[in-house]
Amino acid sequence: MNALTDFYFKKSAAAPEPGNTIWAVGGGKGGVGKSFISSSLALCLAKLGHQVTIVDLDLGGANLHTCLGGKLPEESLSDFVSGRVRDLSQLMIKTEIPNLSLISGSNDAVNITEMPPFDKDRLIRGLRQLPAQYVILDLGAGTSVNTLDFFLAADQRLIAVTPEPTAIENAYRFLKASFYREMRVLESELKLEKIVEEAMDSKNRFGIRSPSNLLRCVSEMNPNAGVELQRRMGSLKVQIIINQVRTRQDIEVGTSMASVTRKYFGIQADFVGHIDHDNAVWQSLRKRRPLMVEYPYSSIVGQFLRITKHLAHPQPLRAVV
Amino acid sequence: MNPVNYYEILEVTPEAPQAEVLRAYQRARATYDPQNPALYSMFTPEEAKELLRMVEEAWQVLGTMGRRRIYDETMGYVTAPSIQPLAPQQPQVAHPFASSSLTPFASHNQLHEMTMATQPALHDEPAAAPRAGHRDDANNEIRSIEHRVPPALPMTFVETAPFTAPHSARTDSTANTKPFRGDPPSGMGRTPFGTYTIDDAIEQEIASATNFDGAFLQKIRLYKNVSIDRISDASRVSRPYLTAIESNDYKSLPAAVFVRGFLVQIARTLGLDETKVAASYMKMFKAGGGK
Repeated sequence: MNALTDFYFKKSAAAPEPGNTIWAVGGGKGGVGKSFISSSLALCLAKLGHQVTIVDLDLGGANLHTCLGGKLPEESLSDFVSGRVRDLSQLMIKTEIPNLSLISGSNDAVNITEMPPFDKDRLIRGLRQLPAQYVILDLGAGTSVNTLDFFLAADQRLIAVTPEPTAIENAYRFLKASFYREMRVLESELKLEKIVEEAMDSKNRFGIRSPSNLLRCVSEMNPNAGVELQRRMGSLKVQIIINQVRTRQDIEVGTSMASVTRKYFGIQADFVGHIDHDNAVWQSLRKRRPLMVEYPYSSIVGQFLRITKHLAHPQPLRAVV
Repeated sequence: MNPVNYYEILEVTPEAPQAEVLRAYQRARATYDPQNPALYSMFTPEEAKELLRMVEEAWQVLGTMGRRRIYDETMGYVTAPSIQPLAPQQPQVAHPFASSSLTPFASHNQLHEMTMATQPALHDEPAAAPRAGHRDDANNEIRSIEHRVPPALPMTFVETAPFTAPHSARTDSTANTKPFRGDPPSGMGRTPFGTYTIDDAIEQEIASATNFDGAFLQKIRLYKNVSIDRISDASRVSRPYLTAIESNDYKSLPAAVFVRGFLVQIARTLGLDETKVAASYMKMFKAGGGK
């Protein structure tokens, strides 16, 4: 816990490093397309001319190299974690796509999922220093502490979700876990543990039913630090992508989820776009070739490009006169 | 959950045009429909129903232009820019008939109030008011006032509404909230209504304060030379409510959502941190049995 707090401290205290921009794709449930979305976004960024590195952080279940159509890499993250390789950039493997390189998580040691905090910090620092413009993190399913910390360390946090109750439930669970993880860190930084605990204990007395209620309550109990906590938590931002869309109602799930997230957690949430359900996806996967390469003219390639441009070069909407 | 105002419920800004409010309402109604899968595991059907009720309530008010305007005024969302652009478009005010009856009186009062704090001696000059009162032409009159104001006074108030549209009480009060340009003399602070002598001890107390109760707000207000009537005119919060806030009379105050709005208005007028003021006062308000 302490090592982690230190890490966040350093992260918030130091000015943003001029290095790379980290995007993380998470989402709680397995099979919602996290690897597919992260590899496609990486390909789009590479296609737009950026230097991109994609990192397989689905520790214990890494298969991103298959999504990208490569063969089983020999070196992987385990070598960095165990200390065999000092520099993370040595693990970057060139792919057949120009501008895109991969750091694989395959061939990993059996105990890699229980990575100690120190190694995790070292890994996150290493990711920040990678020689690339964009670093895309493909996270694993579930809400393990490691996954949450990689997610929170990113600059752009994407939540992949399919319009099914199970996926939606897990996405919210993932958001909840991330929220409390971030709050735990800020709490100790602002010395608010006691007040938060008090507020949590008397939950029903104050009518606290959601994290946004909790934040408001804490800021009323301790205006100075509480407002700061509310402000810092309010700067947390997530982007929601709806995958495997079949109907119009499915798209609206994205808008609704963003609204619910804003109201419930009091954090920023945007719906950045949807990806249609398309047979091209499994067909390209069977051939072990990236969709962008195999079916470059399919409609969902356009949807990915639109999302990528929106995230990488956001432009305010302007009236055309 | 527990939003502060109707605009937050519908997730639009107070400046949003009516059509956008309608779209936001439709979106919110679809979002909090108990059948919506996106609510699953976050809100129980009862909570969703309650949220939907809040959305409908917000729409009842914001969906009608008239009610929305009243709500905006109560909450203090109407700001000067929406009214001020009208002022230069009222040339009829400069008409001789209008000016001879109304302008000199109103403008003299304005001038008196504006300059009193810095130049008390100026208005002891007995001939000033009657002379202005006999002018036929409003433009001449304005020029004559301009002329009388010493050049040392860093004011450009002739541009603001009082002189061009003096017969409109609404324009008067909103124009007052616009701060003067230029810095006050050293050792003096400025509010939208005038100047005051800076007292380091009180400034220190304000800066370190975490508890803004009614008595302290009153102390700050008196220190900054602002009358209750001035705040009331500018924010359109009624005087009894302002007095109740200052005397911590929570029982006489309306629902929390309105009180928060009042506090933000008061804090802005007095140049205080509105979040801090509202948060600390609302805490006491709730503890003291406010609605």
